[in-house]
Amino acid sequence: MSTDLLSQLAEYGAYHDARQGVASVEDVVRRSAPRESRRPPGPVIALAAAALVLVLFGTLALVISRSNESPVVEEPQALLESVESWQRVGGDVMEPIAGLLDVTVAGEQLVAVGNDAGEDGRPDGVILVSGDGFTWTRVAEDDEALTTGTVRMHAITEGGPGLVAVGGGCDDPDEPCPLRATVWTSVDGTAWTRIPYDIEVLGVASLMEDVEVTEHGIVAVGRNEAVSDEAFMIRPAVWISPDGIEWARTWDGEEMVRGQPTSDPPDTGAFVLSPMQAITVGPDGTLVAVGTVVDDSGVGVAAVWTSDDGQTWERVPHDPEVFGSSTGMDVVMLDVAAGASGLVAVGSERTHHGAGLWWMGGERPAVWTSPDGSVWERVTLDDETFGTTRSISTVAASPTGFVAAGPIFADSGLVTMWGSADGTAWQAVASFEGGYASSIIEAGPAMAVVGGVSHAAVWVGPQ
Amino acid sequence: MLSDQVVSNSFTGFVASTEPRLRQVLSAAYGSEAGREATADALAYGWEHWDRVRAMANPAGYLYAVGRDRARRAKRRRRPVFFPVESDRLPWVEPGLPDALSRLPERQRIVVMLLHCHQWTMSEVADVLGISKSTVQSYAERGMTRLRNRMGVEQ
Repeated sequence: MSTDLLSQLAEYGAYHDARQGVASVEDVVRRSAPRESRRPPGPVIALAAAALVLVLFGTLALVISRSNESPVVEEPQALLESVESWQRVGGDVMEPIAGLLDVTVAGEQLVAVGNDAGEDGRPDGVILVSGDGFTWTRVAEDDEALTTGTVRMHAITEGGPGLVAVGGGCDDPDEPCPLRATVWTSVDGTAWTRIPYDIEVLGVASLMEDVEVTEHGIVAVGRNEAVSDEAFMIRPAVWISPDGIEWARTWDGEEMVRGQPTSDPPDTGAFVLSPMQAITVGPDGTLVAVGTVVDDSGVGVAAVWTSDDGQTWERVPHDPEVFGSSTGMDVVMLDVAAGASGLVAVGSERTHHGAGLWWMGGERPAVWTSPDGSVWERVTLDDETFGTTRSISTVAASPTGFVAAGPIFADSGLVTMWGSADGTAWQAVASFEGGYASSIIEAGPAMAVVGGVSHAAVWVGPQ
Repeated sequence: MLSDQVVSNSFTGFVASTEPRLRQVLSAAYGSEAGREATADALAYGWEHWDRVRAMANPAGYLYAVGRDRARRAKRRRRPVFFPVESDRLPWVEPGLPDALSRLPERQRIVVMLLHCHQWTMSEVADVLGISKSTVQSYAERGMTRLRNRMGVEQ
């Protein structure tokens, strides 16, 4: 078989076209809902189909060029169909819940994860579902996978057997132990399974901060803590699973949030900074993870890693003008999203306090943009738009560009949502008193933000 | 107000001229079956909203965005699946070609398939993806290099 690759591609393309066949007007009309203005009677459909047969033999040369109109996002049909302004929703079901950390669209539902205090004083996992975006129901409240030992659910995605949630946990029901990276799976959200602890894969002390379904598998990012004779280190870590059930830790980075003397290890827990905080898939399929590490002088700098396959990762070379601070402040990247114009990352800057790098709070917000994940620019933010906001905690792509929200829980204050066409110029679109935003997502024709005030909170608004 | 027959005829002509290329680009992105489904869904949307869609400056580009959205929601980011090679019909094509294509990053795969499977021009690919011709060239080179490496073909 010596035919050159270009010839093989041409042959396969012709074969592919022939095997697919063309969609007929009859097929198209049959699967469509009634037309907006009028629906043609049966004979007209038949006439149209007959006409198609003739026309199909004509030229097929139209160039599909990029449209200026916005993409259409209409599914799921029942989700947040009538949102005209930003509002807080959810009602009484939120009150017993400490806070929400992530939300995803699964089928035609929104599913949010978070934590509450737990009856035994150790936190339990929380699952909230909503079919319309306004009314929320807590499910699996007594599920052992969510209540045994310590459960910290940080992120959720649709994937694997249905839903895959990640975070940290200690499955010893009697004695507290260090947080370890933990995965929970569910078919529909009502019953959950905790993946058995495996020290080789999950580590002695570790945490999964975010999870993303990619064409290479389900990829989770976070941190792995290690102790040597000299130092306590928190390093970036990546795990991959083909199905949400079988996991492998594929990569441990050399960079760290802090190399702390073993005589003075930090008090790590769920809510301290991880080197890798978030992951997304870039426009060309490259996996992009963002977070924070210490530079040679011990100051925190934003960090970006990229990977073609999830197995091996390369850090984008450090550029002090982009990822650092000219005034010696710590610079923290908290989230990243990919949209039509490229990538946008968000975070904060804050005064450097020596050993306190794992503190997630900020003093002023920060935004970066990139066309492809490998080249980044820091965006200059105007004080008028961002006001007293100390950090931007989450960003998501929307049909009109990007939507971001903040602050992070450590900076609780005025919860604000901003919108931008390309990540460079932002406008505040709504704000609410007293709380924090953890995650934002496109939901039907609207956006949904989860977080907390004095307890769990959900806000919804138009795109 | 246009008569039903005129409306129907205009949509029929639109489908005839648009469907093949819409299907090619959506299939390159999402796979053989998913791409075909996304194409039909997008055209169905076009029929439902034909009065509005036909007035657009670029209805075909708009329906490409519709199809892309439908496919993404249906398939998430799972690897696309392409028709296998039937060795009796394609004796000179490596059976591993569809799988190798499916393993390319999305943009590289779309560029490689549109250029080399369906003979689009560089400008046409650049237009549909909203990127420059030099970027198309870059994706094409990287995609072909990966494809050659994966299939064990010499450069």
